[in-house]
Formats: sequence, structure tokens, C-alpha cells
Amino acid sequence: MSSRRTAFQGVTAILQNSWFAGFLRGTIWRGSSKAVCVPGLNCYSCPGAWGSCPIGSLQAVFNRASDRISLYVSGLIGLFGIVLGRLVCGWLCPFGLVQELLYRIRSRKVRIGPTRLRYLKYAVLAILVVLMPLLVRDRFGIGDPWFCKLVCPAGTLEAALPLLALNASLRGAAGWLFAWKASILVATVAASVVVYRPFCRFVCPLGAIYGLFNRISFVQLTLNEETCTHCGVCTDVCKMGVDPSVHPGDPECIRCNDCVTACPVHALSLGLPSGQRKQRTVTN
Amino acid sequence: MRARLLQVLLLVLAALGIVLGAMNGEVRTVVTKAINVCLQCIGIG
Repeated sequence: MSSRRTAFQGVTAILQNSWFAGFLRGTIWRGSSKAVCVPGLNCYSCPGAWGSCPIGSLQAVFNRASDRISLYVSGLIGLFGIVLGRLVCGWLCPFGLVQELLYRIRSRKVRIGPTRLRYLKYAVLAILVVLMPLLVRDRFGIGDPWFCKLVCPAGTLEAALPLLALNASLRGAAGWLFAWKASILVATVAASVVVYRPFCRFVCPLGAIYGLFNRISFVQLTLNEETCTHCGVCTDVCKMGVDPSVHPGDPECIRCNDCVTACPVHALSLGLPSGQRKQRTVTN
Repeated sequence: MRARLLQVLLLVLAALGIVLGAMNGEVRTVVTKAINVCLQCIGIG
């Protein structure tokens, strides 16, 4: 299942960024398809991107003095969240795929179980995606997308590196801010080699939002309590630090399906719950 | 049953948000931002 999921992630990442002319010309797609946000974290300034980044779009509307709260972007994110939850992270996010591929590099691995560091992404969401874009404004009343500006390594990787490599004028304008963002990207890449998806687990504001939907989304990781023997195999294989036999609806679960495949008694399933068996999909 | 009701309610709210936001002109804001190189995203702005 893991290699099938990787192939699926690869295909969706390519589909989302398949305006290949952009990579040759050093420009970005300017068509109307950018009215629609993609479900995962994918920078709209990536030369190949057809759609918009939901986190960037959310901040873009917050930045406008006239709009402030974005019903459109919130609605799109809510739609993805209520249907899929963090399945988006596990199957549709290109930056998640990048981190997973880096984790495959042979090296000493550090397994991090449930930790309070996971709450950092909620602080990032509240401060850099919502509060600062809403409240910090210039003299014209325009704000900045602070998460994109100060943190987002996906933007640095997918947009900054190809655009600066292909465009001399942009390259000439790069200064301390680019150096800062490049440092964050380097740190994320290095961490991804030894820790599974560190950005998704501790920083990503989009993962924080989708995590809130995990317990109520249509697609669920379902535990059949009558079959489960609590052998611990699912906990051992979970690289996100989740115990699916206790918390199948855990906000950290990206629905990668590894626990479903590993379960020796087939007590776990991923999909739309039928409600026929004695199951647990919502736990605390 | 209550969980299913909540799911449907949130689904309807999300759809309503998309429609109302589009009617409010937010789509234009999103497109305008997305079709121009985001200088903040690439560490210049």
C-alpha cells in the first residue's frame, strides 16, 4: 500500500504542477483555474501550479481591508476537511510527499511519539495565518501573508528556487528574507531525513485545520473493537506517533493506511464507515 | 446519527461559504494574488 500511496502522491503532485512551460520560462500560470484552491500545501507561485494554495489564499483575503474574513477560501478548506480530514496530508499534499521521500534516505531515524510540540502548528495557524495578516497593516491598509513570508518552506522549494534560478531580476532582488527562508527550507530538509514529516507534524497550519476535522470527516479510520486485540502493531508502524487502537480519529493521523495494512486481525479500516459493526471512529 | 447530522451541517456550511464568498468577490482577490508572482512566498517581498 505504501508504494501505491507514493505513486498516487507523485501523480497528484505532478498534476497540480504540470504547466511545464513555466519551468522553462521562469514564469507562472496566469489562467482562471487559479480561482480554485488545491487541497494541499502547494505554492501558487510554483511555475507549474494550476491552482491556488489554500493557506496563501486565506491570508490574501485577510490582507485586504475590504474583505477580512474569507468565506470562499474557508468554505473550500472546510469542504476538503469535512470530506477527507487529514487524508489530504497523506495522499494529496506535494510537500508531504517531498518530506516522505527525504525520510527514505538511509540514515539514523529519530522516532518522536506524541509530544506537545504538535501544538506549535496551531500557534502558527493562529498567529501567522490569521492574526498577523488581519491586524498588521501598512499605511495603505494592506497586510502581508506572514506565514508565506516568514516560514513556508514549500514556497521556497516550489516557487523561490525555480523562479530565482530562471529569472535574473528576481535573483538580484533576493536579500536577507530569502536567506532566512532558505535556512528554514534547509532545516526542514535536514530534519525530514531523520524525522518523519516534521513540518506536517509540528508546523503546517493546513494540517492543523484538517486535523480538527479528523474526528468528524466523512472518510474515517475505523476501529472494530470486537476484533482488536490491542497487540500494539498499529502503534509500532505509525510514524505520526498515533495509537490507532485508542484514538482512530486522532488529529495527527494522516490516513496513510499503514496501520490498516499492518493489523494482523484486520480490525482497522479506512473509508466511509458503514455503521454496521461495533466500531469506534470518534474518541478523545 | 448526531455525528452524521454534524457532517451534513458542516458540508452545507462549507458550500454556503463558497457561494457567499464568491458572490462577495473573494474569487477575484484569490485569482489576483495567485496569477502574480507572490514576492513574499519567494522571500523578496
